[in-house]
Amino acid sequence: MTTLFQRLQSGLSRVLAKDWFRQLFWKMFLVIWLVSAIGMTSVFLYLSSRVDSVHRLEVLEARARGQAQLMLERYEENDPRWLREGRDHHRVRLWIYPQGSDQPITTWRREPPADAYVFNLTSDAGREYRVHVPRPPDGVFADRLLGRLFSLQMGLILVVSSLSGLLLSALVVRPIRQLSRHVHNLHRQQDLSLRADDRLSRRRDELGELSREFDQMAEYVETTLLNQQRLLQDVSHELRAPLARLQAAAGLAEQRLGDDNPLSRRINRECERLNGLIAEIVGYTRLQQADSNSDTEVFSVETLFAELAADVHFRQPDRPVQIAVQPPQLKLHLQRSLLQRALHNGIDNALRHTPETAALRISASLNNDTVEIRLRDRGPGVSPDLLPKLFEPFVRGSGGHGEGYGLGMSIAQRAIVQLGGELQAHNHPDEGLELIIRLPLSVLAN
Amino acid sequence: MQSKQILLVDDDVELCELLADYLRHEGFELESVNDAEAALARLAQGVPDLMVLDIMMPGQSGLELLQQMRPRFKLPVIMLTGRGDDIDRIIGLEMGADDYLAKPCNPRELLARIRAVLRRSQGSTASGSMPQHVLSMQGICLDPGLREVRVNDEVLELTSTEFNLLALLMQNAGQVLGKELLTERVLHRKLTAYDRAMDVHVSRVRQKLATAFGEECDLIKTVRGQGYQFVREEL
Repeated sequence: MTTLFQRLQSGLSRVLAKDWFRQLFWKMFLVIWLVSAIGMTSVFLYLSSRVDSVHRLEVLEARARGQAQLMLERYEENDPRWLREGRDHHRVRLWIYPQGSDQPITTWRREPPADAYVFNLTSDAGREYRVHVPRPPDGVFADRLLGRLFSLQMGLILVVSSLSGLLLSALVVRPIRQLSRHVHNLHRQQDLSLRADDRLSRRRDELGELSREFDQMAEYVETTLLNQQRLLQDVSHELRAPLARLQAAAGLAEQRLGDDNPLSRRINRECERLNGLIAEIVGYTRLQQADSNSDTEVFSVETLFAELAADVHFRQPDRPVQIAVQPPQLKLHLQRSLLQRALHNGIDNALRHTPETAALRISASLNNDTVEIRLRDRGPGVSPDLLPKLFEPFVRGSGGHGEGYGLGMSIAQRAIVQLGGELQAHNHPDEGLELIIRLPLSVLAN
Repeated sequence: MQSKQILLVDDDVELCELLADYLRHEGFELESVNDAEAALARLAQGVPDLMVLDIMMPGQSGLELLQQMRPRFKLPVIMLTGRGDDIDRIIGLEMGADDYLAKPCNPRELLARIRAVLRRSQGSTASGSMPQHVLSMQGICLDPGLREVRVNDEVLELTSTEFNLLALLMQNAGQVLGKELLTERVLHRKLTAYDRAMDVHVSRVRQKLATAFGEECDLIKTVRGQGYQFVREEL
């Protein structure tokens, strides 16, 4: 019962959201409601006006017949008052003709209207007459129709058409919403192995077909991506073995040529480069396949930052590093290695692209709905045309020193997405590049 | 001086040959085997001075081998890990490897590690950093002669690296020892970037002490940005 209520509530809140008039639900509802309301109303009005006019003619005829009967009775008895009396109390104006004659006995009246209602009458004496009665004016009908618009029936029509509108649009919109939520999850969780809800894909209609087609597409994309990653990973792994041998052989050559031979130094340096590139590719592909539930742990953010700062100090002793954690005892519960990796890569980037004296600041704070970690350097920032491509693989900035393969930042972003957060980069208005990591509050320990 | 025996365990036959050549040239006695089974068989014949063990091997992995041989054979082990496999690296250390090296690596680096590990496994009294007499504080009794640690009269099982680390910390109780210094004195090598080996060893010692005391142990404090400190007994 409560779940039904909750579902109703969430459904309501969704259809009453901002820009509600743009929603398919309300569009469909409006069209169905309008069409059905107009259709039903016109049928109703037409039928009721037909019934109405027939009914009124019957009443008119009955009244006219009674009156004519009375008049004819007196007329046939030659009672001279028949006209006068009749005329005084006539509610209905009549023209009475003897059957087969064009001369009315009601001689004082002018011609009857051409569209008058005509009926035959037999008097008590057995003589046949023809009676003409003018029809009541149409205006009366229009008045009555207007009255019908506000009747109970009309209210029922409105209720029924609204209900049918709601029902039909819900029927169509609900599965579409389910499908779109599914697609959203697919994209959001980066998990292509998700499949549409069973109830959705079992449907035999077009929507069921759509979700089945969609699943097939997701499957295709998944296998393609997986194959590609596997290939990349396999290639990198396979490259490692010959590289290890190459390095060992270079070591042997070095032994023979002597330690300071520039050639062997050169070979060693190139080996290191290859090595680093392979390590990054392996790390990148591994991150894409990582199981999102593995190895979560509770840790203090301050300790993590301190470790990172120590690393910076080790690599560039002159670099000022500032740490700020608010609240200071902030603890997170997630895959520490992923966060560490993301921050490490961000720091690495800063160390490479900013002068050694440019300060680095790592800060964490708790907002209303996110844990926010900022990494800011005091360097020259990133050129505006490179900024949007910062997280793409193999995109490299110019002017950096040391070896970069353009994978660090995309690995960082992957890691953060894996943690359910987001990573953004922008140039700080004062100076330098600022990376902002936003993590959901669910990563807070306790 | 008799040359040291090194056992190389790696499935890459050619690499083994090259490394063996290199290390022989440096005065070591080299043997190489290519899988875990052969390694166990070789160990059964006699324990070499040091083992270099690759983690990634078909069949039984290096980690499994380490786990299997550990209670019986106490020789020092250097693990070769794929670069960037942080998890494997730490597990390797926790399971009793004495150091690790990312593979592929420069053979010169491997040589340096081998020398460092050998130096410290040969009774670290020679290095001069060992205390000369029994240290006893905070309920821990460390005997450098017997290389034994007792907590409340129960013997605490520590690897030789862990023993040296605890001895160094206790000897300098109350002082903060930097990671750089600890790495140099305990692991006999230079601290490298992103080197977590010392942190893992410290957390390992902490865990063992906590188990021995049966409660949370905060005798070894982390001093942020500086290093580790053994808490001095309040008098």
